[in-house]
Amino acid sequence: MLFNSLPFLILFLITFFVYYLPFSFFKKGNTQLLILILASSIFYGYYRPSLLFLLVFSGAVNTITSYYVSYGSLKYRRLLAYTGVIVNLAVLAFFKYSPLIAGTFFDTHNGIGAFLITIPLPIGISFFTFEGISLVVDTYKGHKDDRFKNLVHESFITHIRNSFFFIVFFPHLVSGPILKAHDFIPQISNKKFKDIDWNYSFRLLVGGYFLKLVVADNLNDFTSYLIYPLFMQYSTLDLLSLLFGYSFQIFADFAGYSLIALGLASLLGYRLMQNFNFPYISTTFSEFWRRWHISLSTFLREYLYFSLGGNRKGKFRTYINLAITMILGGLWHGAAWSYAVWGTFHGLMLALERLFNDRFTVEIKKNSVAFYLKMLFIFLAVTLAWLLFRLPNFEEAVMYVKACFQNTGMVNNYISIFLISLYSLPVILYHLIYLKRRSSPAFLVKQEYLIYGAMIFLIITNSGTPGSFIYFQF
Amino acid sequence: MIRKSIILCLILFIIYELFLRVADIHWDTSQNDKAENVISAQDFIFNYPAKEISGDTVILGTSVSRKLVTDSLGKHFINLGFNAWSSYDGLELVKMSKKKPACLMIEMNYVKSQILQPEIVDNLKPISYYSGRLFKSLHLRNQPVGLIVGWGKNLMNDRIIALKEKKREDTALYQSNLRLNREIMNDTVPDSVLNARFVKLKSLIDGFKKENVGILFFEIPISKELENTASMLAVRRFFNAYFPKNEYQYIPRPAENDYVYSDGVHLSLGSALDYTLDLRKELNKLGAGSRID
Repeated sequence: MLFNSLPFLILFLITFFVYYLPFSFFKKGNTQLLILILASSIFYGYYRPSLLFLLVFSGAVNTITSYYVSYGSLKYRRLLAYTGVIVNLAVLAFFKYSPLIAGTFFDTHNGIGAFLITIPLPIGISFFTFEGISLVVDTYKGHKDDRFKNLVHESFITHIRNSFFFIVFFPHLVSGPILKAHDFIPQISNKKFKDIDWNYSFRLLVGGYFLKLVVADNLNDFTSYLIYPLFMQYSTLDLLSLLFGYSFQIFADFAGYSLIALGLASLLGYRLMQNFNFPYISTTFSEFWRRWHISLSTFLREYLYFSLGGNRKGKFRTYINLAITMILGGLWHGAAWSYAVWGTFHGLMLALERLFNDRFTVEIKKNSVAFYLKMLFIFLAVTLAWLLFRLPNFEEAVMYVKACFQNTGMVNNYISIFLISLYSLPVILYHLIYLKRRSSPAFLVKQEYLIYGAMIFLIITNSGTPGSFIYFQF
Repeated sequence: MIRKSIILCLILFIIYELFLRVADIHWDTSQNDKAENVISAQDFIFNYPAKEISGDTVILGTSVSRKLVTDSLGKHFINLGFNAWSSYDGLELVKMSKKKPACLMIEMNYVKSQILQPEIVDNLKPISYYSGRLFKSLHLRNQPVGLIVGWGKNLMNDRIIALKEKKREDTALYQSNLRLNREIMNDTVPDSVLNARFVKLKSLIDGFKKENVGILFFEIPISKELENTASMLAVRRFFNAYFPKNEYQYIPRPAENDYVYSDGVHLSLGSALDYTLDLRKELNKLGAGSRID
């Protein structure tokens, strides 16, 4: 189901109503969890109920593994934890990367290649398998680190309920934020209607729906033409405006989704981690990754980069670890080599940045010209790299860049350029207001209701063609 | 904050709705090709009551038909030429909206088969339909940004036409488009696929025919270089097989013409008007379109 669809609205309203009915508090909130697990199953299996089998399989593997990692024989805990992680990765590899493996190593018309290429990609698999890994690894860490203790309840039945709820909770199920067991499981408790933070939820939901429906969907009506061979007919300025439009669209689409997810979870009494923190004001690549898709970058840092040794094994290994983490992070996004190239680009930039910082000390004052130039440079580099997301076929991405240089004499479509700029403007203002508030926290606070009122008005009257979220494909 | 925001939104909505009811918005408010399609479909759903269109002719086709200067055909013509879609989508829309025009003019240039797009079907679902009937501000045609941009476009109409002409005069671009279209149109669709499309098309068309809706087929001229490409020949062959000329009425293609095209497939602004007038003459000869003004 999509957050921007009528069936979802109906499902959410019914769930919300039943969730806070007095009978839901029986059995210390157990009924509330069961209501949410049921609603999440409907949410996930609405269009293809068969997908629920995979979700149940994944949930079962992680529930059983984490339980025995916690309470099983000491001798086998490490082995069990490894097994849990490997099974999760195998499921992800089988469903997500089979077509890539088939296309790269086999004949896709015959034999195993023909079989592998037909394997469907279940929605949200990249997200819930990572959450499963988090459950198993956090449980294992619980033996050494107090922060990870008590994630697994003594009662197996209660643990089944908690871990399934952790994995299937619908606000984060198909596109994150990627939850970590140690952040979420301790929040599981009885939730009361009077505890809802309405203002917090309202801001998130209005902001999220505005970014998705008004900004991203309208931009998508233009950037959907950024396909081969159509783009060969566009002028340089048209091509650049489409690429910048896509950069703003991907932010609005994914940040919008995350805000809606946070808002919905908050209405049900749960706080999910912030997934975006104004990434386009970043002045370094490492800052960008602290602000963009935070739940993924922190996941990769905690569960992959640290496991590889992080920065504890010398400078050279640090650079290598950064590059490996980003290449795998790139491949996590999609089964195409262009995503690996995209990850490599970011990994390389992070490594070079660290190398530079290790050797030189350059101090740039905040709000100086150099500070803003750095911000612009990072934005331009990140935007150029998004091209590989829009055109995952690497040859087409190269043709696009060539066309940018070759089509200088063509007639510009000024109306389209104007509209792309107009629909990108809210994202720019969103970042500028944040920058302004860093120095004057009260900026526009009193007038907030004007902004939110206008945003709701535009959601009603000026939404783009409804479409699914870009990150659903990952 | 929540209450204030909602009240403000309500005030804005009411003011905007009232403005739309008194203002004379005659300019094109579409922001892109897809929006053009949805606006045409919404106009058909919301602005043409079933009774009023019972004497009208509806043109169903692709972006090629969309270029027709429909006003020059007469008051009682409605153009449902959809960019990137085809007459199949238009037929589905007319059927689903349960409206019965006097005549359907079906473009033969392209026959694609697809599920009618959700952004159109959604307008026929009860909640969207009744809210759309009630509030003009919910129509895509009336989006605030579209209204403002359309107003600006209207003011700069001459410059926009000049730019389009300049683009058309770019021979390198024209040749590149022509080459691309030739490649696409020489890429044949298997007969089995075309069969499936035409079975669907025939069932839709015969459904209307049974209800005494007139059916007229027409092919809009395209550049000589593309006229006999594999896909055009195949589509003509299938039309002849599924809709024999002794049972269905066809509008003859203009024999000799000097129409100009923007990409080999779409008529330029001037030629679109010329062809529309030629088409009108043919319609008059056939006595088709019961109310040609």
